[in-house]
Amino acid sequence: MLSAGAPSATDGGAATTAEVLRVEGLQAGYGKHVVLDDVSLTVGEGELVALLGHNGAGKTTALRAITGQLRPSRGRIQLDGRDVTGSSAALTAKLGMSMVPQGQNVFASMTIDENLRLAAAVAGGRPSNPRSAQDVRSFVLDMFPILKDRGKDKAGSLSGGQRQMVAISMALMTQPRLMLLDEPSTGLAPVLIDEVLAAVRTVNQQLGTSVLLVEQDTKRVLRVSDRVYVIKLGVPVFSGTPHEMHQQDWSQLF
Amino acid sequence: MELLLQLAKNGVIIGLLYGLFAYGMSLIIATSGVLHFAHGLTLAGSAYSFWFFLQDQDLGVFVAILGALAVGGLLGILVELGIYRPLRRIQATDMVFLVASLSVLTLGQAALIFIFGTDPKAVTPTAFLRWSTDVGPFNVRMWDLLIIGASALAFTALYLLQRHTSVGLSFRAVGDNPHRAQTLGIKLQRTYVWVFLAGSLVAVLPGMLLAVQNPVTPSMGFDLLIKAVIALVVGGIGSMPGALLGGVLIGVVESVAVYWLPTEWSEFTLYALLFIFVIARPQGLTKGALRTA
Repeated sequence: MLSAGAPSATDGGAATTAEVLRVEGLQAGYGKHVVLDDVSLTVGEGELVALLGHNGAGKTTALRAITGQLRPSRGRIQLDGRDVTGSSAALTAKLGMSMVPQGQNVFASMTIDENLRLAAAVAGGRPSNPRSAQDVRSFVLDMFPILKDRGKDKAGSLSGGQRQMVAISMALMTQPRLMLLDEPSTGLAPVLIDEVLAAVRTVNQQLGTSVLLVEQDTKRVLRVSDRVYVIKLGVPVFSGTPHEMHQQDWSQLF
Repeated sequence: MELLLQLAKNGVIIGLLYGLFAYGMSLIIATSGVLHFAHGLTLAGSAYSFWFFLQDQDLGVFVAILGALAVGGLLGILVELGIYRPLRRIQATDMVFLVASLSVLTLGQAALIFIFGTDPKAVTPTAFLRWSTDVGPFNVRMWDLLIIGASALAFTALYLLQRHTSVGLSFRAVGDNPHRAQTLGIKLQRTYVWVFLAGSLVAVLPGMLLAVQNPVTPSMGFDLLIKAVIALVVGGIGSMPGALLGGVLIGVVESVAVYWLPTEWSEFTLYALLFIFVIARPQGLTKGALRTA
């Protein structure tokens, strides 16, 4: 059950076609302090994969190492088959990873409209983009009509849930190969958590965007994910489908 | 009364010039977080270049403008690349940046003295520049029109840049939240270079405009820097209307004060104004966008 080694294509059960992200034996930390050890995971094309674990399990560290904000001390990271281990955050973003960080993830002093335009401009002209910026924009505004109604308002004037929508929309405007979300439920009321997670699932299914979702709220995440990994104190303890996860003794995992 | 009106008009004009200089500096501060005192050197350097190409080399006004823009832009970029970027790499504190920036200004002024000497350099006014006319109670000089034109041009260009271009939006994004900007794929170091270029080019305009009106001196950058800092405190750092309002307000106060006070007291009124704002309204007239962290 432990996915200590390299994950295989059958790992977890869901039929994965092409792998967008492949992480092997990732070790990362701060200084001499190892936070994350020997973590391996894959995200297939169009898959929504969740990385679960308690506070301090190393989930955010994993995202930071994958997106190049933190240099891993060991292991390999591949995006679309290309080795991006130790690449800068700017390069991984350019190659198609878009991370939605936790907390301050919108430009509060800019309008919603400007936030979205900037995100589109950053990725503008990337030849691999399958859709026009206009298409993605209408998709996003259809999904979150409030962003259209309040387009001229400062993003800083929005509620937590609305900010999360802007942040996700910004990530989508870059037309990522892989969207990485760091605990989008933080600070949200339960009804809003469901709304945000449903939106993530909609994006995943309708745009076909591959997603790596880091969360603490296990029950809610299991409803929307294709596959799940759990890490505990920096090491992997479970990998499988939500169905398999339900058959586990959760007290051993968290 | 007529004199008072004339003084007020002159105050508005010189205030626009202060506002231009202050806004270039404010743009740099808001995006990069660096209190860029060496902005004064950019101004003096471009003023000297303008005088050099126009008066000393007699290459014509077109070459002089291009030369001044090139020197001003280059000075901004060089200070960013040569001083601030290495300091950022070692995560220097704001205080270190401030001292480094002041040192660049001081050393730069010394270099100007070394190259051009201490005697003021004047541009011979042409008939075009000497032109003036009376409009109602005001005497309007060509210089006034040039400043109004340059301000309108620069402020419109900067407004459009920051709202409708990706580089301008990235200035604001980096100033607002550099970490998020980075995760979005914006290159911070490159953005800083662009903002130093943009802010410095704006400083070239007041540099050239001062050069045609007053003799160019090595300390002119420092003199204007003091006024710009007061304008930014009064107006609110980081906001365009703030720099404009702050600049015009101190221009008018400084100019009109002469009506009641001896000339040498006009600078005192600025410090009095600064003092009032620091005590009563430290955020400035408009709420500035300077990030506090």
